[in-house]
Amino acid sequence: MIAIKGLTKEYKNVTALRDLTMTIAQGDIFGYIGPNGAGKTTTIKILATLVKPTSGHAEICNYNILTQPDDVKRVIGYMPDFFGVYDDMKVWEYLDFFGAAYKIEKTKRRKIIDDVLELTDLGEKRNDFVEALSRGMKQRLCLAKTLVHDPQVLLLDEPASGLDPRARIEMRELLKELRNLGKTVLISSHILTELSDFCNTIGILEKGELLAAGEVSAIMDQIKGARIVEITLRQADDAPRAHDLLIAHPEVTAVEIDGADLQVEVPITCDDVSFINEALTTSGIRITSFRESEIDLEDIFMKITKGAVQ
Amino acid sequence: MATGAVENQEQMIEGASARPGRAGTRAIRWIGDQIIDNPIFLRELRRRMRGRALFIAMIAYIAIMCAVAFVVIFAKTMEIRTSEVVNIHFKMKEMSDQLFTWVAVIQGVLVLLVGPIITAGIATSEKEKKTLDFLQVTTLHPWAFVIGALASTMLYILLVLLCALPVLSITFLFGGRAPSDIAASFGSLLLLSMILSAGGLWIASIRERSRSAQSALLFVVGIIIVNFLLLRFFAGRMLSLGGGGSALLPFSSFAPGGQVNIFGVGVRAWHADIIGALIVIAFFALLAARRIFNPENRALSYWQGLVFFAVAQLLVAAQLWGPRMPQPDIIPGAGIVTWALLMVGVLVYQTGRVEMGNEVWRLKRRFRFLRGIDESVIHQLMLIGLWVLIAQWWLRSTVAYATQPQVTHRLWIQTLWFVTANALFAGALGRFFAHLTRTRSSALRWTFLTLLILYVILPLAIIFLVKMNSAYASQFTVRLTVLAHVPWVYLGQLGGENVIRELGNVPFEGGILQTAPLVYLVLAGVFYFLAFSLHRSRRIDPDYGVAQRPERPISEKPFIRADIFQILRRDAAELD
Repeated sequence: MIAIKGLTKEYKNVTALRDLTMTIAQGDIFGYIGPNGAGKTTTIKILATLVKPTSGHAEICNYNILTQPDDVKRVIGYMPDFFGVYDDMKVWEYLDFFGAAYKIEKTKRRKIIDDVLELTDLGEKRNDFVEALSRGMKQRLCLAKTLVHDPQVLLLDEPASGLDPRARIEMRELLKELRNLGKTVLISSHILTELSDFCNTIGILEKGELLAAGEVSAIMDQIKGARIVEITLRQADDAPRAHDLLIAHPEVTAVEIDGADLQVEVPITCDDVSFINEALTTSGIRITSFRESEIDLEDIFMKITKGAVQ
Repeated sequence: MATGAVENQEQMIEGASARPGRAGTRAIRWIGDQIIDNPIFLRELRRRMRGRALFIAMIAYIAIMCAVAFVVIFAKTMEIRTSEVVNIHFKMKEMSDQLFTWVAVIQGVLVLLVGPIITAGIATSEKEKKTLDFLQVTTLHPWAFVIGALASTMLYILLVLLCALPVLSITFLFGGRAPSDIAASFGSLLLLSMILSAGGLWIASIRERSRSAQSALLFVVGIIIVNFLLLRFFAGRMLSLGGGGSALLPFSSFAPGGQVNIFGVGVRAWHADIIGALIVIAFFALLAARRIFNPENRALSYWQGLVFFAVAQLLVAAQLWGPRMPQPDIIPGAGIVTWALLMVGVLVYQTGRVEMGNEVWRLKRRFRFLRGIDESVIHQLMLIGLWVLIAQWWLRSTVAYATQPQVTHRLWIQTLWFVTANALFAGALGRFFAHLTRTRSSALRWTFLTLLILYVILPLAIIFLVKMNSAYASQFTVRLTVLAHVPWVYLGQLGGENVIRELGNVPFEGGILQTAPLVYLVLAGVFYFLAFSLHRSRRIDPDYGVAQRPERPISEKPFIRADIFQILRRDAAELD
């Protein structure tokens, strides 16, 4: 759906993107993460045909962004991180304006406008002026505008930035709806916990270079390297005995003790960790909690990036 | 699902353009769609016509018009009452004329300023409000933007004009004015306003902020109006303009007897004005459309610039061709137009970035000696070469049909010689400032300022001083002949408009007409020498092959073909 090959963008003294190559399949929700100045917005702008790359090329739905920009514009919906609106227009006029700009027939526009307003939960604001909308509503209106020509691919640059918690949750729900509609979405955000909710693939960018890309679970496995089980014993005195018992097991690679807490490391290939529980309980060591340590997008991000900006 | 969506979407979007019908009907529909279903047009109409602002503005405008009408009628009535002997019909006609003139002047000032300010605002507000990105990712064509902005503005201007119709209709009661006068006035104002509005769009397309665009715009509007008046005045006087055409549009200024000659076919002055205005509007609209969504786009390539110049030049030449050709004094008038065209072209090229561009690389491949020369200098030479080439053809046809071939030939050579030398001088000046300053706009500013002082302010100041006190004339008898170097004086002199002789019987010998071009050639040489000296004093950036000043690059984004010399070397090796 989106194929990027060797994309490089140089500004006057800065290389914003360096030989970026990646693919996003149809129906994927691709979380594009990276520190400020990493090149996320540049990538999205290049894909939206707003900025020309210095070298390399990209295709969206098999349309080349450099040679077929008009075809690309028909299949993408672009929402920038910072945008303005025409304040002195009514909500339906605003959407009608973009419908006309996408050359949608006048007779069909009314129904489309109703549909996108319903989807974005702005139906009641149909005849309100845009200037009267709250920030969250303007953000949703912008998303409605992005959807007015029914694009297959959505390029969303920090769609939830500057929103309060409620508006953010509403935006997240809206994005989940879009996922259910089968849209391919490339979304950049700083709020990684939100992305982890609905992204199935991610790309991590730093200083214009792609550090990692692929399915979230695969990257997590790659980052983790091993499965870690966290155990809390009822009595701290049992910890040395538990250590000796577990370290002797062939599947266990390391055991760390911190008071009554144990951290047991087993290879990532180990499918079943219940043997640890069995070994401890059969030896009479009583445990109060047993859980496998999970890592999230934030951990991945922190492990992969170095916090460097350009 | 997605494939289905694409098909639906394509049907949805393409549906509008795939409607059946004959070619003519489809074309009319297309034009209709471009305006009626143009999102920019609809948006601007909604925004402008909504709210109290328009209502209040219109009420104020009509009130001013009514007040003007009242004052004119009242003053004239008082005059009639107090006069002892009165030709009442004559006085009423006079009142009618005054009323018409005053209302037309107020309308003109409003319309000429409001139009371009509105269009410039439409374009720059997109940038200021950060909504341009949204428009750029739609399938809206830049032409649709330009057409929508112009159409909505013109509709507003039409409303402004029509609002004054009841006041203007009062003139019918007193006689002396016909409805056709009002139609002519409205038509001229609309066309001139459209030219300026299109110019406003173009300025706004290259400026980021409304205020900056509007100030640049006012400058350009001033220049255009002054140019129009100058053209109208000098060309009109020089060519003994006889009726026809619009009082505001200068395109028929070269139309003796109210007719314009196009390759021997007579075209009515009014038609020439309309055609001329439409060409200028189309040109501005083209420039705006090229850059409105991407200011980094070049307005025209050098080759397109050459083609435009050649077409404009041929249109001028077309007036001098054929058995209908008028007296030879039309030649200097046409020379003024050519000079103006050449000046624009030369200055645009010469104040450009210091670069070794890629547009003449084929020529550079062929002719080794060109490789060391600035691209812009090559383009200037090509432009002047084109002018000389067309002028040769023009000369032959002019002399062939002339009633006085000897006189015509001499006039021609003098015009050609002067215009060429003057263009070279202006180019050298532009090049010098391009090397001296940081950006193209500052180079253009400095060049314009210098030329404005040399060609307008200084000569007008001298003329003003001499006119104020004719005693100066005898004191500066010899020095005043320096005015002959000013293009409009020189070309006016050739056309019989003896400005210098009018300044208190200053003896003026024809010899100065031969030396003036020589002076410009010498000055051109001096400024080119200075420009190249500056050029050589800069280091060459090995990465780009672009000559730059070490700390102040001429251009942040040079238009270059970095590998031009590798290509040339490779080609040369292949040829060997």
